[in-house]
Formats: sequence, structure tokens, C-alpha cells
Amino acid sequence: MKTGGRTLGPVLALGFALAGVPALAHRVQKHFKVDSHPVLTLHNSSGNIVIRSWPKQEVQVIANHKSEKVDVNAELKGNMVEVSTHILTDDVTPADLEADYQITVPQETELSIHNDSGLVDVEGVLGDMSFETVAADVNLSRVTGYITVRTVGGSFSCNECSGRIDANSISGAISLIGSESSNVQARSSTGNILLDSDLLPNGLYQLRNYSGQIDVLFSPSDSFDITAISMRGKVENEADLKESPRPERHLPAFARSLFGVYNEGRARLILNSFSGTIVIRRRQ
Amino acid sequence: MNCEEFVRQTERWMEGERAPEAREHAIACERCRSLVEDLDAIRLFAPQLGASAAPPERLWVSIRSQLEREGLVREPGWTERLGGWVRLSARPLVTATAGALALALIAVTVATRVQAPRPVATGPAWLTSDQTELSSIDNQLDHVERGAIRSLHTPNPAVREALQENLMIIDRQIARCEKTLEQAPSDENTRDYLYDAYQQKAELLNMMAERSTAAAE
Repeated sequence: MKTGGRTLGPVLALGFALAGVPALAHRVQKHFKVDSHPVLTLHNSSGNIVIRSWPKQEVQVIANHKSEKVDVNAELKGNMVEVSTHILTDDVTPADLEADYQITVPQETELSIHNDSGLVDVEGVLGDMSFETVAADVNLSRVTGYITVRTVGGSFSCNECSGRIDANSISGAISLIGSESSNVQARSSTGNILLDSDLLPNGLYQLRNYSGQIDVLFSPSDSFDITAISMRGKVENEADLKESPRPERHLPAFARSLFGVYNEGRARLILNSFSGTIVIRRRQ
Repeated sequence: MNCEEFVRQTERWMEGERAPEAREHAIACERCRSLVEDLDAIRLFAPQLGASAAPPERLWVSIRSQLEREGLVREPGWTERLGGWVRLSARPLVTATAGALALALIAVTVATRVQAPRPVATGPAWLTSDQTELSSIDNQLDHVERGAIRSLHTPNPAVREALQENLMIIDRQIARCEKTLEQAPSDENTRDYLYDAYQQKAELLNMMAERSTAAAE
């Protein structure tokens, strides 16, 4: 017991000392009353941004940052809430830059989010939304609208999304799972692209990368017309396709390609890769 | 000065350095004159851009319609996509200028790359000799790239590394596409990939300039 007491004493002292210093030194919380279809814009350098929806006509912004060298600003202009992180001095370390946000918005909010590094996580928002990041990953779930995503190296995943999806990255992977979108354009230079979603009648799905793998999963009840071309890679297919006319564009002899119709060919799938592998496989 | 030499000096033209022989060529050649009118419009408009203004859509529309009118763009979708990233952006003066330059370079690239090979006698040299023209475009983009890397001062190392690494990825992509085009010069699919790579490079350089500006403010 004595030994335990000696050990416990300093630990408790340290615990009490740390208790006096909050882990996050700066917390900003603001509420804004908004009309229907508000707009939220956010510019942040580094950190995690979490956005959720609620039934109130109100935007709540909670920001946490550790350093006094950055400042958080949130204000209402008309029906637009503008949130931004400002660097106050040139003398900042990467840790100083970090600001985390937890934002709650009405469901029909339009979003315009810029976050260089860290994470953007959005769930349950039903307005048009655009995201621009450098290294930050973008995770969306159960969102609807015209979704535009631009990343340099960050990945993009969309779970149970609907609306129109336009995703573009250089090295980030793109993953669309359980979505119900009739218009998908996904482009990455070196990132893998996964489409594991319903292929809606008259839907258009264009996936394109330079290298990496493109995976498309289908069910026996799906109906699509497919064009898949890998200039210097491979095309692997598990679908039992009926022949369809080849496009007029001439392909060099070294290219691998696949053209065909599955069931009635209601959706249009256009898959292109330069040196990557395109895989069309049956959903398990 | 011929058209090829004229296009090679468009960057200097954008900076206001106009050699007498370049002026003479611009007067004599309608196509080059039309090109530099658009470039001039970019250059003149850039200082008027506010802190949050985007390059004007009508300018791109003008360039695009010129390219289409002259039959230089076969698939408008390409240029619409290019116009899209210009419209999406909201960036300060330095970025706008860099973006405008990149846009101009891309416009020239479109003009030179998507043109199907013509008999030499039917058009100016810079519209027919793809390979020579590509090196000019590459040189100009490299020049912009060196400037962007030099002026990139972001305190966020993750951002700096991501920008630089991805720039290398794009450069490798451009190099490989160009090599493939040496084997199959008329392959439109490879041209698409090359076009994509140029577009992505322009966007990336734009982002780098934006980060440099943000850090300097």
C-alpha cells in the first residue's frame, strides 16, 4: 500500500495540474438563426470538420483550436454563414494551424467547404455542396444534392448519397457505395475508384483514372450499356454481355476494351483508364 | 517570325514585352492576332479582379467559341470542363493572374493538341507540328511551375508535400502520354489523357499560387 501511495501521489498531482489546463485551449460556440435554404461557407487550413443536420432553422458552429496564433471567425451575412480560420502570425507551427469544427445545420443547407488537411465528414445534409481540399479526406453519408468534390491527395467516400456527383482528385481514392445517383463523374489520376451502387435507368456513370483500379459492382437485376477501355492496362469482366456497336473512335492495338449491353442496357457506364485495371464484377 | 515562334513568346507578350517582329506577325496573322487579343484581355482584366472575384466566364466563352469556330476543338465537353474549374474558383489577384496564364496555356494547348494532323500547306505551322508545339507548351508550363514552387510558402507541411508530390505525379503522367503519342500520334484517347493532365496541372499550379498568396497576406 505504501508503495502504491508513493506512485499515486505524483500521478494525482499531475492529474490535478492538467485538470486546470483544458486540453483545447480555445473554444468558440456560435448560433445563427437562418431562413430556409441557407448557405454555409468554411475555409480552414488544418483540422477535422464534422457537419450534421438537425430540424432547427439554426446553424450552430463549435470550433476548437489549441493555439492563440490562429483565430476563428463565424458570422452571418444575409442567409449565409461564413466561417473561417485566420492565421494571426507568420510564426506558426503545423500544430498551431489546427482548428476542429463541429457544425450543425438545417437539412437543406448549401455547403461550400475548403479544408487543406485533416478530414471533412458530412452526414444528413440535403443541399448542393462543394468541397475543395489538398490533403484532407472527404467522407459523406446520406447526403443529397449536386455534390462537387475536388481534392489533390485526399480520398473521397460517399455512402448512400443521391443527386449528382462530380468528384475529381489527383491521387485520392474515390469510393461510392450504396448511392442512388443518376449522374456520376469520378476522375482520379492515380487513385482507385469504386462504384458499388444502384445503376439507375437512364443514369450516366463516367469513371476515369490514369492508373490504379476501377471497380464496378453490379447485380443480376441491373441494366446497363458499358464501354470500358484501358489503354495500357487490363479489363476484367464478370457480366454476361450482349454485343453492342463499337464506338467510332479508333483504338490502338495495345488497348484493352469492352463494349456490351447487360439486360436492357438502361444505364450508361463509361469507364476509362490509361494504365490501370478496370474490373466489372458481380456483387456478392 | 512565324506562328510557332509567335506562340513561343506569348508568355513574354502577356508580361507586356512585345518585340517588333512579334507585333508585325500579330498584325499580319489573323489567327495569332485573335489569340493575343484574348490573352491581352486576360492580362488587362487580371488587375481589376477583386479579392474574391473569379476570372470572367465570358472570356473563356470567347476563347472557346474562337477555338470551336476555327474547328480546333472537336469535343466541346473538354473545354466546358476547363471552363468549369475557372468558374468554380474564387481567388485573389496573384492567383487569378497565374490561373489566367495557365488558362491561356491550356487554351493554346487545346488549339495545338486536339487538331487532327493536317497537310502542312493548309495551316500555320504551330497548328500542325504537334511535337514541336508541345515542347513550347511544356516549357511555358515548366516556367510557371518553377515560379509556383519557389513562391510556395505554406506553414502546413502536409499541404506542401501533397502539392509537390501530386505535381510530380502529373508531370510523370504528361511525360508518359507524350511518349505514347510519339508511338501513336493520332490516338485521341491518349490526347484526352494528356489534356486531362494539362488541365490538372493548371489547377494544381493555381492552388499553389493560392496557397502562396494566402501565406503572404
